[in-house]
Amino acid sequence: MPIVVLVVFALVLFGDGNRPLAGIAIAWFVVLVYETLPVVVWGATPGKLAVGLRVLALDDVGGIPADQAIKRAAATAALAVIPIVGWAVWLSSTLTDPLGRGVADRAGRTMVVPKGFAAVASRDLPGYADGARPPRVVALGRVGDLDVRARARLRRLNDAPLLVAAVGLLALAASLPYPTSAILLGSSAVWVVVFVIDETLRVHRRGATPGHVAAGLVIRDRRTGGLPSTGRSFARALVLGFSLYVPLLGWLFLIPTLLLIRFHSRGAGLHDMVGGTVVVADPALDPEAQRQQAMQMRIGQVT
Amino acid sequence: MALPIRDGLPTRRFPWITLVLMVINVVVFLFIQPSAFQNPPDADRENYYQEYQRQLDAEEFSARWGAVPCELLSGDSVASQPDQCTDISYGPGAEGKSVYLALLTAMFLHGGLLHLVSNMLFLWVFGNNVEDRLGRASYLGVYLIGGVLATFGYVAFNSHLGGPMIGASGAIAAVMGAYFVFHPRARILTMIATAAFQIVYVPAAVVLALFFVTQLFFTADEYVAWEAHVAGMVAGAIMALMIRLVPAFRRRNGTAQPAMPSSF
Repeated sequence: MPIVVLVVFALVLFGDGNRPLAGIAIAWFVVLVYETLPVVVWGATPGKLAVGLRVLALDDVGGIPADQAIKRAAATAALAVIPIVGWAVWLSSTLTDPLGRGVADRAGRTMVVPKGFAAVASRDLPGYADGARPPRVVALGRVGDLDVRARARLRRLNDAPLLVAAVGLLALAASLPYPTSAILLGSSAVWVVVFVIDETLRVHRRGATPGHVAAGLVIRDRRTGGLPSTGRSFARALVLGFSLYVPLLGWLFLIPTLLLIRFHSRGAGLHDMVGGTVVVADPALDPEAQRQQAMQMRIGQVT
Repeated sequence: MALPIRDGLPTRRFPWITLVLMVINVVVFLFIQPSAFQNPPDADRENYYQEYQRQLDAEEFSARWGAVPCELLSGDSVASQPDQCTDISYGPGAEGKSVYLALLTAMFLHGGLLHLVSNMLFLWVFGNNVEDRLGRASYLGVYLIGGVLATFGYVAFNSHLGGPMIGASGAIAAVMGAYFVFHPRARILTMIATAAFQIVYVPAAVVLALFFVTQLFFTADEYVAWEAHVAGMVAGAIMALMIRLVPAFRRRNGTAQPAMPSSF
């Protein structure tokens, strides 16, 4: 509550009706200061102190360092001043995280805990999803988690020079003298074709894309345990390409796929179901080494 | 079209200069530039006169603090009608303007929110690693000198133009040119609109080459000072190469080592 009063007071004092963006910046700055000073001095904002919570810096005993407090506060303030969308991100990221660490806590490497906790070590955290959600295991091994697989997807072009070249050429297509919608549709269609061919070959030959390799995951035929056949790899790639790269219509596939990977006992998205495949930990790797590799992917330390 | 979002390269120290440059650009845009820059044109007819005044303020401000090619060549303000200024369809110019000071001030002004946000995004993605590699003073030097050289690149192609150019993009293009020299193999998380809006890590050399090449396809009605982007990027790359050849800089060795957490 005091924060709302402070923001309104600052806007009345320094605001200017002709400068709406400047008003947002003033509000951001007030929230930034409010979320920084009490956290550095007392360990939490007055509201948190009142309900017995405090903010801890990971791997730090005692007070919270100013730089971490500022990063946390900057993220909190940014979300606070964006109506609806910012609040939704703040709420959903805090509620969906197993330990309640939302966007701001991740930005500042902090965590909100009940009074009485002395310290939290970051080495316990990367695997915290293990504690909150038991790992899913199938006959072929441990199932790849949604966040690890999603981040692995961002590395799809690593060690794929032909795909990089295709993406480069398609990006240049924006400069062609055709209507924007035609360019977006045409280039995206070309990309889906290129992607399906590349994905089919890689999954059939190696049972992994570069992202999977980085995360220590492999794609296997669910029944034989071996590499998926060409047909199965193609069917899987087709559904995946459609889900990922066709806006609107593809989302009808993508959203169930995300939910399935997260909640299904085999972590099988629609593309895995169509291809009869499962994405599991690479059996060639030491299980603990694989787990750490996946964790590094989860916390974004692999490029 | 490729929009960088972040890169995978860690830095060894906090990029203070990059942050300060961003703060200056944002504060100038929000609090110093006339309010018309942050408002869409007001269609309210009752306030027509007020809106007209606001637009005039903004134009006068750009003319005074923006870089005007023919002024830079003649050394005189457009208002005093030097011979070089043959294309003066942009307005009467500003009386008593310090023509060369505008070289510096123009690179801290922005024409609109989108202009500001996209420039700051590029600066944040590429600036931190270049600052880390070069050290603060040299980085600031590359930024400011690159910005001035970029403006001259624009002037070279538009020498008779009496209209102002504003924006940090020339200086930021110089930073991108330096990034190209120092970290061509770094991976940049990029959104590629023409490949189904996918977000994916792409080698920096590809992202930066794309940025460079697409500049050559801008048309006159898009109001993009592409000449400044091209000149800035080339200037930044050349400065980075020269710095590489200076032994004092070479000894510091550039490749940032990833900071591995103790638990791995």
